[in-house]
Parts: sequence; C-alpha cells; structure tokens
Amino acid sequence: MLTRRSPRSAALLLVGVVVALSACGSTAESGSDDDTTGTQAPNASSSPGALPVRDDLVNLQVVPWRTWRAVDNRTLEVIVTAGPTDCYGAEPEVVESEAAVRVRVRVGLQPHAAGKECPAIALESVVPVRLAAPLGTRKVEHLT
Amino acid sequence: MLITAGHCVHSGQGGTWQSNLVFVPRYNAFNADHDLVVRFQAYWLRTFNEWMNDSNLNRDVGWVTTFSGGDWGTTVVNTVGGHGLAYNGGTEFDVSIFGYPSKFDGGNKMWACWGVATDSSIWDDRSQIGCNFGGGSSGGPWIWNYNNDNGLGWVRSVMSTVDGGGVNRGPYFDTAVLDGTNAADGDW
Repeated sequence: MLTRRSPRSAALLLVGVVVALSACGSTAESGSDDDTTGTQAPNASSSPGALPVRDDLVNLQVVPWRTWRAVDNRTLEVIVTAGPTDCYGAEPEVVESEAAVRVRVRVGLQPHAAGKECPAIALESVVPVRLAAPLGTRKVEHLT
Repeated sequence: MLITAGHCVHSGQGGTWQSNLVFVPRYNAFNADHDLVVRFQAYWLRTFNEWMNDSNLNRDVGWVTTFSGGDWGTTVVNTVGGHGLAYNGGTEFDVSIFGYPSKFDGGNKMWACWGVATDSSIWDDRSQIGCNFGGGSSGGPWIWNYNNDNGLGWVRSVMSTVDGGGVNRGPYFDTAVLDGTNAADGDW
C-alpha cells in the first residue's frame, strides 16, 4: 500500500535544501579521490534563473509568486519556486485595470520533459510578465 | 554530516557547486518557531565525479559537512540524531521517504511517503516508487527499516528525480557510496 502522510515522528531530515543556482563562482577544488570530489561550501550571491514563458506546457499548476520588480515600463519579473528551468516553464496571466495590475503564474512541464525524468529540486526562478500598458503608479496584486 | 542528492550540492555537467547551503532540521513554516533547533551552515560539499562531470543519475549522491550549530552549538548528529547507511543490498525494499515537495503545502512542511521500492529498470541499478514527490523533495532520505517511534533507520537511497507520471527514482547505494561517506567523514 502506498499512502502519504504528515510524519508523526520527526526524522533526522537529510533534505536537499532549496538553494538557488549560483550563476557563477570560483571554487577551489580539493580533496579528490578516485570517485568523489569535495570543496569548501561556497557562499556567494546568486541570481535566480528564468522560467521560459510558453503556452504549450503540460500539467499546469498555479504557483503563488512572492515578490515582484519592474524590469522596465512594461515588463515585470515575479519570483516563484519551481523545478529546473530546463524541464519547467511558466504561463503568466495578467489582468490590467486603471488602478492595478493583477498577476497569476501557472507552472508546467515543457513538452520535451513530460516523458522524462527531472531532478526533484525546487529553485527560486523569475518569470517575466509583459504588460499591455506602462505600469505607472498602478499597484501589482495577486490575481485570484 | 548529511547525505543528500548530488544535484543538491552541484548542478552537474557544466555546472557549479551550490552556494549558501544550510540545513534546517524539522523545518515547518506552519509552526510559530520555523526552525525548532535552528540551523546548520554547510562547511564542505562532496559529490561523485560522475555526477559532477557527466550528470550520471546513477551517481546523484552528495554529502554535506556542516559547521556546528543549532540550539546547542554542536553537530547535527548530536542535535537531532543520525541514521545508518545501508549499502550493497537489493534495489527492492520497504521504504519510508521524507521530503519537502513544493506541490504539497508549498514546500513549507515535511511530508512522508512509504511503500515498496522496486527495481527501476534493467539498464541501471536504481530504485523507484510512485510517490509523486516533485520539486523540493530532492535529497530526502529513502529509509529502510524506519522506526516510527524514534524516527531512525538506514538510508538506502536518496530522492533524485520525478517523471511526468509521478514516479520517483533514487540511486543504488553500493560500496562507492560507503567510500564517499567515509571520505566525507574526513572532510572536517
């Protein structure tokens, strides 16, 4: 039988923490042996990757975005947590009014990834959102 | 020291080591205290060369040695306990899996899945089980002989991948995983 539950007894959790991919970074590799390599854990500022925006995604699911910023007058970027950007993509929806820009993001598998395995990691990723009119002083809100 | 997925410490072929890695035991965003025993910052990372250079999923295993930390300023094992390592067993075994899949509770709470892991394919030695644990569950332990009373058991694989049908797969733990664990043991 296969079921899911919320665990009653907390295990020592050996979890892959959610880490952002570091865009670049120099690492001094050392401690190699025949099969594995170690390095001092880097601490560096990292910028999140971008989920490709497309309209042919599979198994779409609404994912709440956390923060936004204006890239230019007609482009926003919102931050979501999603799988790797080479497997997943985003389909943003925007409803604009005079007072507000309301945004919802759906994330799904890219068609090429639907039949294959993807690393089960969660990453912070940006989703570009195009506006029909300049943002101006309008509020940016969640579309529900 | 923690055992996790290789891709949790290095992004694989052509990639880089992961930055700013921390371990937060019993993380639960629904509790007033999110990190019950505080957190542990990574000191040293390790993974298989075959993961780092070739993104070989049979070698998607990583190790993290942390600084002392938490509420008592000591090691992870002395703070929350530790599992054993099971290696050179079969690919089919009773398993309990723990992780933070973002599709359940937004990844803010630990989930578990249990059942019988089966052989993944004749082409490799991995194990598989249909837990539908997606993004965020990576690196979570596949525990054999899990004791629900004390929360301890033997780590026999780690969460590696999910496919479009919700099937999860994890790498086979052989002597090379033991060797890697022993090497990580010397990283401090």
